[in-house]
Amino acid sequence: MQIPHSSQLIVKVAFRNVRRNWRHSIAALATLAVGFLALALFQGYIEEFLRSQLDVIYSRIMIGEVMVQKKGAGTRQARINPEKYRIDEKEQQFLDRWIAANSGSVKTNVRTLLLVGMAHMGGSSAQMILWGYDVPEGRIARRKWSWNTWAGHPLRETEPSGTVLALGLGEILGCMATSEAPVLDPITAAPLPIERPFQCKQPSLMLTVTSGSGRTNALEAEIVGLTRAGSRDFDEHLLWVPLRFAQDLASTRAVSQYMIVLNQPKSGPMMRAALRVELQRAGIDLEVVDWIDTEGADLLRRGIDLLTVFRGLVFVVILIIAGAAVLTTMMKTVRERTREIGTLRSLGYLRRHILALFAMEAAMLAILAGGIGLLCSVVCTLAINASTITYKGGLLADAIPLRVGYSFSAYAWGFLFLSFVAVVAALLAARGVTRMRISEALSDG
Amino acid sequence: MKDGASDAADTAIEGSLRVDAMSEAFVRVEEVHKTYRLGEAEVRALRGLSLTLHKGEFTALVGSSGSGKSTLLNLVGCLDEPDRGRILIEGRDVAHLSDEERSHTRNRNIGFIFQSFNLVPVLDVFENVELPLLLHAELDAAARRERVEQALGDVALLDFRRHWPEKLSGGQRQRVAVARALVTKPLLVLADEPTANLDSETAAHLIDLMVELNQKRKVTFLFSTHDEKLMVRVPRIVRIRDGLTVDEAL
Amino acid sequence: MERAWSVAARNLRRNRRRNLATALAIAFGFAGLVVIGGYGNRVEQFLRTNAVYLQHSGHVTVFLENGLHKASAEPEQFQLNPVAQQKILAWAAQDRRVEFSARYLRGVGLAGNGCGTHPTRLLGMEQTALHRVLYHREVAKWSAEISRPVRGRWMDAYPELPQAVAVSAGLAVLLQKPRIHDEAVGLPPAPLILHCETEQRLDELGRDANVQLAAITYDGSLNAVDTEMVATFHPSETLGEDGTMYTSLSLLQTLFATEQVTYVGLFLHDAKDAAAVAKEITVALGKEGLAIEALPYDDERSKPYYVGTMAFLGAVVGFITVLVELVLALTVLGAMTLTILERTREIGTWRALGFTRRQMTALLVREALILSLLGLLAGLLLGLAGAVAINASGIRFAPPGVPGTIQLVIVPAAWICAIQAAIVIPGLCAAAWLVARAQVKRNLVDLLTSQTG
Repeated sequence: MQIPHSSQLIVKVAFRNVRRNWRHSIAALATLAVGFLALALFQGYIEEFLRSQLDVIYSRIMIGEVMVQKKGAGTRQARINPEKYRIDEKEQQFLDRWIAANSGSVKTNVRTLLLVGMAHMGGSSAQMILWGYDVPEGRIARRKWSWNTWAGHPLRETEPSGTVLALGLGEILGCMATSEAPVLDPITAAPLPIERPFQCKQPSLMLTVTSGSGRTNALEAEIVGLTRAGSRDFDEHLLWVPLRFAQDLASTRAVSQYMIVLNQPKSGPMMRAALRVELQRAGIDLEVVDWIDTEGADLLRRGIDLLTVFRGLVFVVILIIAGAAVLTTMMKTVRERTREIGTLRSLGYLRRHILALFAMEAAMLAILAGGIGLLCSVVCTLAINASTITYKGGLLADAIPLRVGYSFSAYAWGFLFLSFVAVVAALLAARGVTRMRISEALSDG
Repeated sequence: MKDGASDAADTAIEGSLRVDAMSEAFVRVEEVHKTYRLGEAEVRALRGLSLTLHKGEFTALVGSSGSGKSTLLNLVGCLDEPDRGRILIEGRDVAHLSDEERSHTRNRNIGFIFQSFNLVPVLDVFENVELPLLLHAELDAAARRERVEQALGDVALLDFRRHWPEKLSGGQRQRVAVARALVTKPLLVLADEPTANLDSETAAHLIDLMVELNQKRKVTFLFSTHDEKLMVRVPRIVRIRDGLTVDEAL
Repeated sequence: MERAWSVAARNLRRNRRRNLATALAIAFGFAGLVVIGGYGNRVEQFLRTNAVYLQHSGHVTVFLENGLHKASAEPEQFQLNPVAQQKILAWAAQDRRVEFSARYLRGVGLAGNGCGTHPTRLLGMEQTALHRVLYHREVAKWSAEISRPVRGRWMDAYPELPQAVAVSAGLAVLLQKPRIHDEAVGLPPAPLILHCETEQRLDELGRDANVQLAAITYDGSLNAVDTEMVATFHPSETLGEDGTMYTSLSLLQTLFATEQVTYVGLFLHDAKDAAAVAKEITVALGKEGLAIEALPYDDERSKPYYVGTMAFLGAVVGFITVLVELVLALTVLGAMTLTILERTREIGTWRALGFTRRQMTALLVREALILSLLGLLAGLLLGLAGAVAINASGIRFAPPGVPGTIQLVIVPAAWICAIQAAIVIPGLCAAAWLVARAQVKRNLVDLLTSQTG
């Protein structure tokens, strides 16, 4: 379809006017550019925060892209009758067969058993959440977090009754790390594989759990290490043991979850869907989920939601202000070119041609500003990421480095929204003059 | 170029002959009224003015500032609407057309030459003259180029086609405006004080150019001026005072 | 210059549309700041109230030295004995900054219903302190939602029931105890031996509000008490929902067979005195031979969540303020540039008449200041209206670390608005000054013959 000649003129005149008069629009350009920068940095921060937290969480707590558990496993009813909400041996055999059949896609599988009970050391007691897991598979799933202790060493296959305590829980019971040496690798932000010293009131502790039927079991575990749980709340409750130890403690061979880690994380949705189909075919009542949709991710989701609300508010405020800045500039531009507008109208150009002309100029201005904003945001992102600023965010136990990501969606939306605001402002500014009597416009100035 | 009075007489005779030969009315302005509001005050610019133009005529509207010349040109040029009365161009009442219809009429049938030239500063000479043709979808680029070059040739500015308006003298800019006014091959050219911003010699040359184009292209010209010295060049003069015609001279 | 302000004001009327657009931009920007500041104020007050009152810590939490970290592991060595308690209470009683003080004992035990047990955190507190804390005006103002029990009444409403306890709502569900004390009165009693393995269990458990509490004393014995659940509540930490109980101090001391307390909480009239009080009490009691650890509520060791969240929130609000300020300054810069460009010849005329550069600059800056003040005032009203609208809408949201949802409430504070205005106004005037100064410095003839206005 051929573009009308008048449209070609509009683009040509708009471009030349912007090129000629951009200095007069510096403030509007700067405002739009700052708006773009704000959006890009904010969104880049949120995306990078989510990405890095997921990376750490997935590694630290061995989350796989395919998580299998009993339906309702996260509910309170499951706490009342935990036995009914575990994956029994028959169901585990089915899952093991499926994993074997998809061995090309599966990196590893970590079975976990979660128990709630009490930990006792000497005269001290504490609530505990006990996390039993497959130790060698867990090491693979943890990737750069395979050495996941701040003091002592991680669980080993050769220590069937070893336990690693969260630092907060350790403190409650009487265990403390005694080294001040830095723990985290400055590049990977994961613990360095060094066995740092710690000391406890006693070398072991008694763990007790009560079953749904009221029976209490107890086992002694040997403390081999201390670690951070990631959030302050969990830091005062968590400890880790080998899966068999946890199963013995609970007198069961069932497990709470299968965490299947894939070779290609992006194939997660497809693999989950495939497993669901197989389970349904076999009549097995298990649910296959993505961790981010579970109750366990509630804290992270809430944090991201809050940041997103902030971002939205900032964005709206800045858009309105930027729109006003463009409106001011366009009003002046329109005012100065009233006679030119009259001339074009006298030559037969319609009102919509005039409006299109100014809208095009405003859009070009916005794109130019967006380009400046993009450049600034890339520079700022590089500078922030190169800095060593760290911060603590509320419930997070550890300080995390301040990082901003390159958010292509933010860049695209930034260009789009700023152009939209600029065009609307231009149309508002030009509307009045296009309704002016042509003779009046011609005699202006 | 001939001198003063004899020129005027010759031109006047030629003008009257032409009027006799082409006596059909081309533009008829009938009892037109126009009032403007300026703040609290009302200004009656035209008070029932009537005027007839014949095809191919070259007419000057003469009157002092505020007499209604520009208002009349604006109304005839469909730049504005009268409060009362009719304006007929080739028998068609253009006074109360819609905005789109008036725009179409201006683009196809009327050319304008303004006092301040009114060239678009970001377009070069060629592009300024081409401007009205861009609304002619039936013309391709080659056809437009041919017309523009012809128009620029008529005003002896073909060599300046890629110059920017700010680099031209006042006289050259006005000639570009003349070329733009004629490039659409209009039926009527309206010029509102086209010589006001020019020195007397340039102004005289511009009028001569306009007369030459009037004779060559048979386009009806109506222009306003308050410069009496230019009257000798013009075949027909219509004097306006207080919104009414008071005198006509050929 | 005489009548400078009135001249400046009249000049603003000359380009109404542009000045209106600029003023509106300032208004929206400041309104946004008022709302964000109001949100930050509300969050700060809410978190502080939680940290001080609802977590039963006081503005200053007094432990025995090293007690913060070691009292749980070694209670007998690192908790406060009766002598230490008396010294602390005596000091607090004579300090006018202390509104009241209260003793607390923390521990861990097993809550049972006769069929099963669940681990639970225990907090024993004095009943008078419980009443003063939970009905405090600060709590009523900032955390009323989560200070009220979900069901029932707090233990202080049952002086005749020394074994009255409040159980976290999640724990009550885990214990399968649907009824609190008041709801169970008059029901036929449950059998002595419950049918735990059958469906009858639910009916039997629901017939009373009895909860057994068991714990290991400091000398290693197992002890147990019978308690009566008079209320359920949401604790202020998410993980506490499934395992928190409040008891009377005496009940918990009986359970653990001790007269010790874990800490004493000092509740002050004014939160700003916390740091000073903490320092002074440490010194004063140190002189009496008692080594204590007094932590103000904003000490990260004592309240890491509060401190961490406030730091983060402060950074976010600060960043947003700077950003909005920058954008507003650029807007005013743009508007003033246009205004001054249009009036170049006029400025030249004023200068030709004898007005100095400083006077011209001051006139132009006055215009920007009047515009900014009008914009700020409109923004303040808009922000307040926005806050009222948001508060009336009843929007609820789920902040991290708080169980369930709370209502979104915006509480603009005068001091925050004043600080924001104090940041915005000089910035806008500085922008205007920059533009005005550049133009006014130009050669007079250039100004008078300018083509731009």
